[in-house]
Amino acid sequence: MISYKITTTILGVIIFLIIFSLVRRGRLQEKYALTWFAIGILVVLLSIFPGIIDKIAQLTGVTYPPALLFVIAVGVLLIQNLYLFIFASQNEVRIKDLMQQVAVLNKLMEEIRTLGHPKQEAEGEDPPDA
Amino acid sequence: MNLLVIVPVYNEWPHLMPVLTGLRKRFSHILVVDDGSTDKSFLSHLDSDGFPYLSFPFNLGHWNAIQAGFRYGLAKGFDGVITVDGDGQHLPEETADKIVPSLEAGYDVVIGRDNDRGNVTKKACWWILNHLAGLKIRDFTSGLRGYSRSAMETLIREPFLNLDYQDLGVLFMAQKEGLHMTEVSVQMAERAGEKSKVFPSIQSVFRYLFVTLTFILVRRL
Repeated sequence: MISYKITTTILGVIIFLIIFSLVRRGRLQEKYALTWFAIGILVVLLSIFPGIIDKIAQLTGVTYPPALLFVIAVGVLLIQNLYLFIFASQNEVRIKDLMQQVAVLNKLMEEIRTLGHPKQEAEGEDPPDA
Repeated sequence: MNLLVIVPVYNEWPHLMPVLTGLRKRFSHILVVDDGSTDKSFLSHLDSDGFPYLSFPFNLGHWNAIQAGFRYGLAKGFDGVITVDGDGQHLPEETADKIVPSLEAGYDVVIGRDNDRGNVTKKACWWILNHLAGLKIRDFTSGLRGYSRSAMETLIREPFLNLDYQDLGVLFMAQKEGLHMTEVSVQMAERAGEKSKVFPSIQSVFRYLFVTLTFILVRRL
């Protein structure tokens, strides 16, 4: 029978490696990797030393330590999720702003272009140099 | 006054051409804004008939189409714009005779109010929302509006980019920005399309109510 610590350590290391490789391949930008690295390190630490949770539980007066673990996990995920929604809202505004500007610039550019080369009125006729 | 008429369009172009030809009799500058319609073929009709247009590659929303029109109007130096729905509800004569004079009188935002629109439930909903928001405008859903140049400058700024619908949120914030608003009673025609584009389904009604209520409550409490 193996120690449960081995199982949790392996799981923790796998999660950390996934985050690490995502950052390395540029799938996750470095600036967003910060919190994920923190989470990865936390997972590894907690899986190697599960006693930490018991200590914190004792200090905070939580009688059932695993509950504390879930509270922390849910809390971290909630904050991350909220951050994502803020990020999405912000991006939406930026996209709208850019889209509007692009549409207007396209139009103005086309107007300048037709100003330089006025459209031939009689389109049925042959072009002069054909 | 040098005015630009903006007609936002989203997948309703069969009704569009008569609206545009009607508008051309009264206004010399018309701009169609295609809000990412799935069928883009009508743009070539606009080209051949000499109607200028802006086009989004994907759907951004009615209010965003109008904002793009504002930006174009500002770039081209217009003194103001008038927004007209593309479904034939708003009559060119009414637009010219009722909206233009109020803009010329110096109002920043002019709303064309339709007195007999909507059934009782709808009217009750609007009344509640209106009073929650503390708006002085009665018909905040009307798409027939006039905007002065300074209103256009204000309404393309950051807080207004966040809005999805052109109606209550826009007017609420415009009122807060201190823009001078007025409402004029206009005669409207039946809309050519059978369905409202803001409320194609019951889900969209709930979505609208939720968004609008949240909008009002977070700002009023």
